[in-house]
Amino acid sequence: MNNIEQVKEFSVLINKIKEEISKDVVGQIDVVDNVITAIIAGGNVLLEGVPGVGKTRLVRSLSKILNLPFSRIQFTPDLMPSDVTGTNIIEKDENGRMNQVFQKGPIFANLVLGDEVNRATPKTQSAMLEVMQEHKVTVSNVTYKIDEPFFVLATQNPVEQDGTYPLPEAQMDRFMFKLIMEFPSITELTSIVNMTQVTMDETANAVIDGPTILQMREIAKSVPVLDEVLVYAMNLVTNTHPEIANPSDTAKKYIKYGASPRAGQALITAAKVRALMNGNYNVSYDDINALAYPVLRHRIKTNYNAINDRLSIDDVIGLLIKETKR
Amino acid sequence: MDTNFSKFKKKVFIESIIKNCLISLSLGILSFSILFLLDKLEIISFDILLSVLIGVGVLFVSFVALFFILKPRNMNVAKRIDNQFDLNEKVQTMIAFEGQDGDIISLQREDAKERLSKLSIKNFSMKFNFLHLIIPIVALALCITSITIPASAKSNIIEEKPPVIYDEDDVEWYIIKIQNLIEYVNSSEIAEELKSDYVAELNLLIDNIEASDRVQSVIYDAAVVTVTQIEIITDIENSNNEIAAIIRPDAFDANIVSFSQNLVSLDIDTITEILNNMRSQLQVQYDPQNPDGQEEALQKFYSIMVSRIRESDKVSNDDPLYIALKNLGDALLKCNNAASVHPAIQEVFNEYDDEIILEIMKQKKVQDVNDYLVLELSLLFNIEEESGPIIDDNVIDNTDDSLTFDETTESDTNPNNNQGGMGTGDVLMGSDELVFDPEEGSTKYQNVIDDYYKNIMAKFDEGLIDEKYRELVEKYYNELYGAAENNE
Repeated sequence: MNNIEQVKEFSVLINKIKEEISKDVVGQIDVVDNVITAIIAGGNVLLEGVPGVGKTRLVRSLSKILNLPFSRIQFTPDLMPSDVTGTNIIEKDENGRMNQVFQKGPIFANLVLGDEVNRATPKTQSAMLEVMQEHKVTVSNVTYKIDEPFFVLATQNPVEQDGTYPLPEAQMDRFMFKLIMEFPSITELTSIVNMTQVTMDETANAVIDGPTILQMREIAKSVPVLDEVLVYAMNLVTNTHPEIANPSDTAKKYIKYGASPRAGQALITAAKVRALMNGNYNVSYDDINALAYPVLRHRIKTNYNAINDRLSIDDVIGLLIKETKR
Repeated sequence: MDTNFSKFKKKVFIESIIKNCLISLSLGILSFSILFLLDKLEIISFDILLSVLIGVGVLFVSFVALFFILKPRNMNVAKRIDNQFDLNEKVQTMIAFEGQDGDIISLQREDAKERLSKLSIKNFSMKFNFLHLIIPIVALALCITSITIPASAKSNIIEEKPPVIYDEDDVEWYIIKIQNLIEYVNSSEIAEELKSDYVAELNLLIDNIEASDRVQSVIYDAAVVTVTQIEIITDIENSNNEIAAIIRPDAFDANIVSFSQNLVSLDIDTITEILNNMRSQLQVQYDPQNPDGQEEALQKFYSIMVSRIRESDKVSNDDPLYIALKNLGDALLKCNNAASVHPAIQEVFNEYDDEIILEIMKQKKVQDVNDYLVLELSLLFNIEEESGPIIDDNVIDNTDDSLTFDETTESDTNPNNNQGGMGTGDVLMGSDELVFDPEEGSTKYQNVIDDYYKNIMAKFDEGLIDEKYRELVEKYYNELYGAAENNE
């Protein structure tokens, strides 16, 4: 299949993935779309939602569809970094000699679900976040690469914050998206219950594989972006900062500190993927606006004025979008 | 360039041409209208043809400039298409990456072209904003205003015209005419001294004409001054009006009322008849049985005719007419012989009648010369009738010897009443170019009296009028001012 055909097939493949996911995950359309976007764009996702909304199921289903190994790490306060990355152990070989062998940790998978990452200690969080960034593990001066594509979906429980270690903002910045998994509607809940009464197992089929995802990633990089759209995205990120020379009114009033340059990179990279997913061959303002929420909501810290005015972080992002001129 | 895109671009180009025409035409009209309006309001002086040329120039220059400014760029057209048809920046991306290679870029280009091909050019609307409508309307409104607004009113009243210069022959002709008038005066029967005064004024007029550099306005002013001076000389010489105003009672005695009226008009025949009537009346009033009644009649006549004149400072004691009337009154007083009062009255009237008539005849002659000179000079130099206020004898207040003015709007064109200075008849409205009110067509004398005074004082200062008349003129205007204040 040549490149043009691959490009034309891009949205078809995406639709197939979505179709398969819908067999296991009811609703959560935006979350599913953004997770797929992040996987293809090469980013990681921080997922926030109450227990039981389908976070683990989503990643399991994706691992089947994408035909990629999946692992789940349940973070607890006593989890050590080596529990995540792996460690050297002493093992007797067939000759009876004792050898040091590296036992890979659960991080060595293509799709990793890090459940309740905020329950782990900062040291353990750092170990995982380092792997997220570097895609490799170094133990005893030996580096072990993680197979591509590598995708981490970390979760945070919005309740039960007592005794947790919230991820610092600098670490949060490494996640491409922060997605909110809402409680399903009555209709969705009914479907979930009906579905799981039949079987609790994921029934999705494989659609693509890892190399195909990597190809799609490469294709997405070539999607043209209009200069005006690029500038608009950068202005959007810049407008999150209250400390610059001519800050936006929203930033001045509601934001304590703004997004890092990674937000700009994430916006454009993800927008390219989103454009292709929607059957378009160029990035548009709509793509930027749609992705502004998952890209910025964990990168902006609002101040007391926003709390006082009862504005959520998404409300503030909405104001920023309105204020940013095209 | 994609064919469909070209169609849209062409439509945008037409739109820009229309906008260009609207704006450049408006600017041209605005330029012309502003210049034309400023010229009409006399803020600046601008020829209308030049205004039109400037307007046309602005139109062309702005059209050319706007052609390049408003010329549609591909990206702007693409942006409009994307925005209007919600194409998510497809066309803009196609234009931006035109000429570049790449699989996705090629696909994007094809996708954009395909979307363009499905669009109807009819649904692509031309955009005109509020300004494209308002600017032409404002320009048109200003143009209509500038055309319909009347020119500045000031230019209708006073326009500086170049001075009219007479030919030498014309000036010579004027001088000859004035010399003819001098001959007329010299051949008249008026007193020599009076002749000298008139001749002096006429000679002065000749001198002023010769010194005028033949400028019409200068000559005209000099002629007006001469006419005024002649009338002043006549008024000083003739006391008939003065005496008539003083002696007339408030409808007390019909003969005396009639005498004063006809004294003004110098109607000798009627005055003669009136004197006969007075004589008859006095003779009738005499009652030999009532010597006191006779005394009373004579005293009454005397008090009216003589004492009022004597008490008034308006008439000189040397005035011949005054002396004649006084002699008549004094002689009548001496008629106290009851037995011979009728013959005595007869004798007095016989003696002093002639004296009075003689003086009146003298004044009549002087008045005739005056009227002739004034008429001839007015005709010669086209001097319009100007006169100061003339006393209306119906409103004279005898108790305080003051003169009153009756300010009416009727003009009295009877030359017998238009004596200049004081006289009987209705008040004539003064007119003066400097204070002429074009809307009303006339003005009250109170409005012009200051200007008259200033004008004549200026002539004194310039030496155009003999200084010996200054005091008289000032006295004359002081009385007029006093009467005007009373009227207010």
